[in-house]
This record gives sequence, C-alpha cells and structure tokens, in this order.
Amino acid sequence: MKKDDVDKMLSGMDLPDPENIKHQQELKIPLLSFKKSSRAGLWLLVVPVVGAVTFLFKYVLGIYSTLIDGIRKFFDAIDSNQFLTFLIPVIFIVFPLTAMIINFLAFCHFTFIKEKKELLITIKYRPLNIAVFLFSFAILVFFLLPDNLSF
Amino acid sequence: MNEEKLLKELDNDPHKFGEIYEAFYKKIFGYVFRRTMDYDAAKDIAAETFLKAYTGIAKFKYRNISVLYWLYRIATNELNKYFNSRKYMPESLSRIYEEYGVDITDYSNAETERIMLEEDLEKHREFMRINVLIKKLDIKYQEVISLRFFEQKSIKEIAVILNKKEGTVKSLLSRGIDKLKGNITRTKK
Repeated sequence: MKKDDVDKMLSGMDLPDPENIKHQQELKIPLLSFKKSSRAGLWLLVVPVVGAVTFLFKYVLGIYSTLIDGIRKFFDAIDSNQFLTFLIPVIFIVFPLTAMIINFLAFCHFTFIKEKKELLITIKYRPLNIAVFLFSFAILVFFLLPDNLSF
Repeated sequence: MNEEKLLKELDNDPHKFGEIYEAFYKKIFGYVFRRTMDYDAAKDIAAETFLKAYTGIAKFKYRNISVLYWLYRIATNELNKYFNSRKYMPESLSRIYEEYGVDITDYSNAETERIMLEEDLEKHREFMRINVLIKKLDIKYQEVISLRFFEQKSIKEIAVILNKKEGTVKSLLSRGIDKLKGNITRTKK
C-alpha cells in the first residue's frame, strides 16, 4: 500500500455524522443559566427559613431578642397590609414548594426509552439536594398547619 | 452570523453566547464523537468545551478568525486530557456538580440517542477500523489526521486550531499518514 492510497482512502471515507442529535437544546438552558438557577434555588429558601427560625426561637425555645422581634413585626406588617398579605402564602408555601421541585428533579431522573417502552426512574445519591428537599418539605408542612399560616 | 458584532454584543449580554452555541455545537460534538467513538465521553467533552468557552469568551479576541476554530482548540485540548488519562474529569462540569449538585449533561433522551449513534457507528465499520488504528498513533498525529480527513480542515485551518506553523502541520500529517500506513499494512498481514 502506498502513502497516496492511504490519503485517498481517508479522503473518501464515509463518516458517521451525528447530525440528528437532540440533546443540544437540553444542554443549552442549564449551560447558559446554571449559576442563576442555583442561586434562585437557594434564595427561595432564605425567607421561609428566616420565618421558621424566628418562630422556633420565639415560640418554641422562648428566646427573645430585638432582632427576632423585629423580624416577627416585619412579617406581621406584611400580613396585615391588605395589598401585601398575598405575599405570606407565596413566601411560605410557593417558595418552599418550588425549592422542593427543583431539588427533587436534581436527584430524581426520569428517562423514557422509546425502543423498549420503559420508564427508567433513577435516584442519584446527592445528599445536599436530598437534604434541601426534605428541609423544604418540612417548612412547607410547618406552614401548611392551619395555625401557622397566619404569622 | 456576524461574529465580530456578536462578540462585541456579548460584553453587555452574555446570553448572546447562545447564538454561538446554536451555530457550532453539532460541529464540535461531531468532531469529538468521531474521535472518541463514545457517546458519553463525547457529550461530556462537548459540554465542557462550551462551558469553558462561555466562561472564557472575554479572552477571545476577534482577528478575522472564526470562534469555531477556538472551540476546536478547546475541544482538542479536552480530547488530549481524555486520551492521556485513565479517567477523564471535565473540570467545569465537575465543579458545577460539586457546587450545585447538578449534572447538566444528564439528558432525558440520552439512552435513545446513545442507541441511535451506536447503530450509526456500526454502519461505518471501515471508519471504525481505521480509527482504531489512528488511536494507536501518537496524539500529535491523531489530531492532524482527524482534523484533516474527518473534519475536512485545510492545513492553514489546522495550523490555526492547533496554534502551530503550517510547515509543522504538513510535516506531522505526512509522518502521521506514514505511520498509519504501517499500522494498516501490519493488520493486513
């Protein structure tokens, strides 16, 4: 075999062309926004956690401080304002629920294999996501108790 | 796509990178897939390439050279890491996973796509046979041969991608083909 033959063989070779790939669109969104979405996931829990900690310190542990009292008054003010009162269920129910969904999808994956007609459910061991999911769930349950929704 | 204009707009709106991504992702994925012949490795390396490009786009200075060549260079560097280590660890992807617990290459249709590409690869037995022999060559020959014959790049373009002189590329290509010829002859005996 001559060197030119190798050149010709390589030049005329039929190549695999993964032109029909679809994952390109799935990767694009997290690639361009992964930092923002992760930060949003954390921010969703900040306010409900502050509310829960304030409640815990004041009513369960009986600890008093001007800071805790200030936070409680702030939430009271929102709750009693007719224009802002809708924010309370948003902060204490919608935010933790969204955080729960985001974190659930981070450790639980669903894949449908068309060829085999199978739905694969994969649970990945991601302690942080599982912890945040459980924590969000606890906050949600806590604030869904009838007596606690009205701060 | 006016790349020069787009690169200027990227300073104010980083999401304009999406246009670069849309235009070049398939080309880069195809290049990586043809070199690795491994779907999972190809999607990791392609994602790593675009993540590195996204975070480092400010360093890219437009000098009448397409962003595509820069993407090829990043992908080639990642491929070198992949071929030189037993267990390839894409830095940016690993960092995202560690910091945010998110695997951004975890596609919902990955299994279906893997099957489709593996079936397509099976139809190209001659390519697979030659590629196995190319992989036995030194990495510097693999790079030039795959860019020249699988990506149909000119000597000048390869020189830009690999940041080498055209003469060096010609010489590497010539020696690479010689060595490949030797490998082909040995397998036929």
